[in-house]
Amino acid sequence: MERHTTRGPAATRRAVAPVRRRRRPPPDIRRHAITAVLLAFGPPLLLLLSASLRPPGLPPPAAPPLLPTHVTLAAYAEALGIGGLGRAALNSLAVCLVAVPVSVLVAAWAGFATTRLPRRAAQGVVLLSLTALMVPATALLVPRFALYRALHLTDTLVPLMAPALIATSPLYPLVYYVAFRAVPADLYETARLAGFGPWRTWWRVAMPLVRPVTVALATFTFVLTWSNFLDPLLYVYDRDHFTLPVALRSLSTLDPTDFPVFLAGAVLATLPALLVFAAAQWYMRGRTGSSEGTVT
Amino acid sequence: MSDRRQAAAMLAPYAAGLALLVFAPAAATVALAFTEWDAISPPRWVGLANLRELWGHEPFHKALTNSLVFAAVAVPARLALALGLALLLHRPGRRVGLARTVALLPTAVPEVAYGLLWLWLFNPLAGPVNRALTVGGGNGLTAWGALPPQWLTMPTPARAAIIIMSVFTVGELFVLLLAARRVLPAEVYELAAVEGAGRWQVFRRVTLPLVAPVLGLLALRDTVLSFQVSFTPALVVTDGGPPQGATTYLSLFVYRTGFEYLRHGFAAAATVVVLLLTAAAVAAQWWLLGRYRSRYVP
Amino acid sequence: MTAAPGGPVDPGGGLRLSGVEVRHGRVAALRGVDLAVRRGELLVVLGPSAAGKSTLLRVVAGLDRAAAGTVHLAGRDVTALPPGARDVAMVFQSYALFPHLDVARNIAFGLSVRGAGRRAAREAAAAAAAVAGCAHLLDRRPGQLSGGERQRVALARALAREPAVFLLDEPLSQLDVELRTSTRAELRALHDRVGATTLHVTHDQAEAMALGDRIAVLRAGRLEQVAPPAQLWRRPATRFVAGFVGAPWLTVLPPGLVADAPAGAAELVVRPEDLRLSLPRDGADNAGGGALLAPRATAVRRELAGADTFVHLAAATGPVTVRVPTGARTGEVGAEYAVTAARDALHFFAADGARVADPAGEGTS
Repeated sequence: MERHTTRGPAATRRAVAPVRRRRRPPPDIRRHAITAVLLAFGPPLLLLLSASLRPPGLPPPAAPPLLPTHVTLAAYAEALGIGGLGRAALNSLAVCLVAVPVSVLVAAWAGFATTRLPRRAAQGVVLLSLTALMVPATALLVPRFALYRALHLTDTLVPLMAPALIATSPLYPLVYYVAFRAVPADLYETARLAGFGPWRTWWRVAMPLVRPVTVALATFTFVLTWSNFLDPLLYVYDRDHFTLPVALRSLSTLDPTDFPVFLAGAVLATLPALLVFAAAQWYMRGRTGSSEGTVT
Repeated sequence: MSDRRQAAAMLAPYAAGLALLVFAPAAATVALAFTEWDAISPPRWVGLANLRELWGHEPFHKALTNSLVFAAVAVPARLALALGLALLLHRPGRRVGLARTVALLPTAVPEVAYGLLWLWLFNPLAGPVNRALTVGGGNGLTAWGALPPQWLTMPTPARAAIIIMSVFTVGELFVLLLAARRVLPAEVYELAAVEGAGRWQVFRRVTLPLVAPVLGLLALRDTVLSFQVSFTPALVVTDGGPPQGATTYLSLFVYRTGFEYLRHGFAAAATVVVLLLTAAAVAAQWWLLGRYRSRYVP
Repeated sequence: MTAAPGGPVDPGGGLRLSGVEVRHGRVAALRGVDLAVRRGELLVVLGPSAAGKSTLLRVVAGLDRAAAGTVHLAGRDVTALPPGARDVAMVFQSYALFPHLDVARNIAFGLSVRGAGRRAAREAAAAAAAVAGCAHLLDRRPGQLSGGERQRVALARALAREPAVFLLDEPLSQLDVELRTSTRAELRALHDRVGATTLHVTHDQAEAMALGDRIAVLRAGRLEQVAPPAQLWRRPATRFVAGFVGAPWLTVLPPGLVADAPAGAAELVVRPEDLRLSLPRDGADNAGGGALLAPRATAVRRELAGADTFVHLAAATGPVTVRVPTGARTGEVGAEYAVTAARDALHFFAADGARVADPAGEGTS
């Protein structure tokens, strides 16, 4: 019996032989691939920056060097002046200052409350959120428009802040829900023994433990709100209430051939998002720097 | 306040938001699909007339085809690129941190600014893309003597341009796949090495099956999103053309029909088609994922 | 059938490490390890955590690179070969089973990676599963298996390819105590049937004693002793081995207590089970051929450990711990005793921890 069972694999082994041996690709492939990534993803933004530094109104040079010969900020001045980007930036900032904190708060509350619900109800919240994620934006435009008009909110900044009520994306309450559930139950029990209600437990115990999640979601919320184009396009007509993306779009339709001007505007619109990204990354690196490299 | 009440109060804003800003509008859109409404006079019930009209409406067919082609090409391309980036950059190494940041940059650019950037990059005469393609050639021809693609004036290059743009903004997919790859245990890779698996075998037999559930969910999400992400580039870069309707996707079609031609009922009917398509895509991929999971976990 | 099946026939075809050094960054994980495993032998690598046990396995597998030294396997120098070309099989601590493959495909993984046909791989998997005792699980998925079943599947996967050497990295550590003991016995029986060259890593000395043909004790990247279990226990080569193998509570005394202590000894070490208690006045008589280690020691504490009880005593030369049967009436707290031991139960170590040969003691055993 034993003899038979051990002969099986031996026979296969002979059938398999000679063992196929693959040549290991040279380690350089990885380095070249990384270079390729840098070359593919880097230039568009570098070109954006260099083009925005050209003098406005001139026809583009025949063979553009990466750095223009006459570096000038004239295009920026024009974008701010003609395009009214300064005022638009203030509007965008106002929207973000209200919408981002509210949005994060709504997401955190909803996520935490869901952990306190009975199983069935929690599953219901998750399912509704997932369904909401799947609803295409176009299905919401017209009724929302009617709603805002009925409330006399069109041509104000309120419709642009309103998505904060659904946490900007129904995905974010789910992210918080997962994060809060990952907190060791002992800590919640300790809070309960200390006489904390859900409210105090959320603020004193849960939130400090998921701070990286908060930073990440606040970043995404900011970028989404800052970049929001469709809502102001639909609900705001008065130039004084334009946010940066719509103002940028109207600037580009003003003179579609004057690239330096609207590209300067694009740089101005991009910078805050990049700064927030960089700040979040800096914060994350400070927290997880030591673990970087140990996970492979 | 009792514990239960406090929890309910914390959930209330989100619940109200979902009801008011998502589910009620979605239901209203479905209802509007059976009406004629110009947003000024009250809606008029027309039954199935809108849907019947869509059936034979040439621009709608075009938009539908455009959206489906976009999803069929862009979603796999985006997933493949994001997965490739994640597998290339999950290990620390020289310039890996820089490459990660650079790969994320395009995603951080606001959509309109991003669109304007490509509007310039793709400019057939002055744009850097065609400048690069005509290096070594004369008379505006490429080195191999062909006319470079007329990105924003011919239908096929215009559609390709929209897809190329979308491929660079895979930051979110990249980050999620990076995380999915990093939580895979090192031991299964060491086992594969001991058993003599080469790079391709490791990818096909270890990495791909282990990240497949995440990949499936992302494919689902990206498909649904693909019906909307094409809106801004199509509006800003190609203006839905050229010629008429070549890059008009369903989202742009709905926007124009509703807000420019004030045919909200007709637009709502088109939206219902989008909803059904989304539901079908979700159901199909959910089914696939379910089949995979039934083999994956008990 | 004692020879490992498969592989080139080579009379000396076991595993040999010479002068192997491994560094993890700036930390030296292995510092010059020389080790020979005979063909068909089951050698257990025993040591505390972070001693370099797993590194030893990984350098044999090729997962860690040797900074110096060579690894010979079945007569070949494999030092420079990638893991897949070394003909080794490894059972990981977590078993590393693929959740998306059923048991049969998990077992056949190595064969199919090497291009075996579907049927041949399946047959080999079934055969290996039969040997490892998991033939009834072939259609299940890892998610449906218990810890013990996973362990068998991981073993079957290692068996399927019939490699030149098996590397087992703490394969029992994920099992609960009861299962660990029975699986330990099965593992030994399996080895007796298959007779494959095996390197088995553990931090559990009981597991090492029960399993190994020989045990290699590793500490801070160096081998302390390589010996059969009985010899390891009876003649520990270093002070560290004496403390690591066997019951806790070694009694350490100045060697001067014994008249004929060997020269160069800095410590006299006795295991608790080798010490005897007697009433103080007849201590000298009861020592017989042995040594009187403490004429008057006061019992200060008793510690129950199942069938045995450890009696801690305070003596003029320092603390002494003696093992007595739990039912015995000796070792009452507060009472005074004389402590003696047989002459051959005394271990002498030099200041650097190395064993000092003791002609007087070893002569009597």
